[in-house]
Amino acid sequence: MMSARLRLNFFGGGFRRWKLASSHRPCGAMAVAHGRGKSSTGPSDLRLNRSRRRLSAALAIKFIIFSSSSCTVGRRKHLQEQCVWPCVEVGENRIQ
Amino acid sequence: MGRDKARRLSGSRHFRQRVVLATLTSTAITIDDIRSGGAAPGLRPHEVSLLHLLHKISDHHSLDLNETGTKLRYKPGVIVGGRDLEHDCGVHRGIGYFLEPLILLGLFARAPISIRLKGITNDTKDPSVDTFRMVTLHMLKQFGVPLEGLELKIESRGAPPLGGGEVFLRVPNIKSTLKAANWADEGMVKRIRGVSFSTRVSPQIENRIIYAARGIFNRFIPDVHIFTDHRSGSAGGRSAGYGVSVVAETTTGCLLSADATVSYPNVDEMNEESENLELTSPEDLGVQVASMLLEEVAQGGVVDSAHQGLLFILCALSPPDVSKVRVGQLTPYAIETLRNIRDFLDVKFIIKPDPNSNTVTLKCVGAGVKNLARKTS
Repeated sequence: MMSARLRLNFFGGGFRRWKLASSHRPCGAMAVAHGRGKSSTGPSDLRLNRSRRRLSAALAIKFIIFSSSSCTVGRRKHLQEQCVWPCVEVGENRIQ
Repeated sequence: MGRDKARRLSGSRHFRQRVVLATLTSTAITIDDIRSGGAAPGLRPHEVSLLHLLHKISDHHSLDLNETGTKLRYKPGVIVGGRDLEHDCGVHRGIGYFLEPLILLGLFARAPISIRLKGITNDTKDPSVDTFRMVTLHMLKQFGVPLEGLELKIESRGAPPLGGGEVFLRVPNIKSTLKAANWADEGMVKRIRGVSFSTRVSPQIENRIIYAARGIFNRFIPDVHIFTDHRSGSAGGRSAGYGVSVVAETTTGCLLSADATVSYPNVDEMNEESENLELTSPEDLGVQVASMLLEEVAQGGVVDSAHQGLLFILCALSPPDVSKVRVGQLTPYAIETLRNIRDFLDVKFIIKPDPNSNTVTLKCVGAGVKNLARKTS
């Protein structure tokens, strides 16, 4: 009984992770912009460390990340907990 | 604002701006000590070329230059404008050096100006013709100038040192006065556009520039599109060169620009060290121009550093209403422009720093300069 319950919990957790992951499908450009995915237009490692991210955050707040004319993420609900971009630090007003 | 007595000025600083403001305000000026202590005294060739350009678009003016070129007496006449004009800007300065005076004078001309300018379209000293076409002409919209009559067509591109470029400019004249501007909302950057060009070199260089620039931009925004403009043959001018101009557009319609060009040294820059000159690689050029544009975005303001001076002049020429603009850090050229505006137009700006956004808000009551040259029916 305990093993069955544990197995069910594991399956449920996996399902939840899969569901969250599938609902956040950035396009190629956004994957690069978020520092994930395969980069084809710049350095291979676009992940910024924390200090560099804070420096670029001051500049990043002047940009609109989601432009509905070019990015598919803008048309979907954006899960902020999935995003590593500095927009989390400046709030939701950057999502348009 | 006609004045009988000539205003005495000294030195060669901001020669172009002084002459333009004197023409717009019908103020006679006398400039002494023009590089009198230098090894090459007097006016530079591009400044003489500017005077020739004024001669073509104005009437009933007088110019008196002494033998050494260190003293100039200028009495402005009427700006008549004209169609199908041609002017060779030479190879000492880019065409961008002459475009700003033409835009200002053309607005207050008797007839619209259509002129063909020949020379260097992209160099390191002056804004490129792409920047004028993408940014400067659109800035006039804030002051009530319709964009329909404005046009800058790039016929051929010319890089230093030999030039060979050609552009066609059309500037409409305003009926009476400009419109006061209330331009303080800078917005957020929503897209980046640009043009990468190459003349008499491999077209692959443009792709290398774009690839490097996008590597920087895509960290911040995905909507980046830089066009390519490869010129060969006669359309590519007489010298090899390559460069890029980029523009950031905000949600409120502001345009911030940056451009960079790689070419062989200009005539004035030619020296012994030029023989060992190493040209900047396309990749470094792309990174450089991207960093320049990001710096402009970081500074804030509704215009970039290169357009602050023109923005202040347009505000000062506006009707006697309050004009309000927001800019980033004031450049030395902009500060000198404010001084010239005070001297010629008697307009003083109220400068208010904004510590929250690290920008500066400027307010002024315009001088209300009217287009008196225009015929009234």
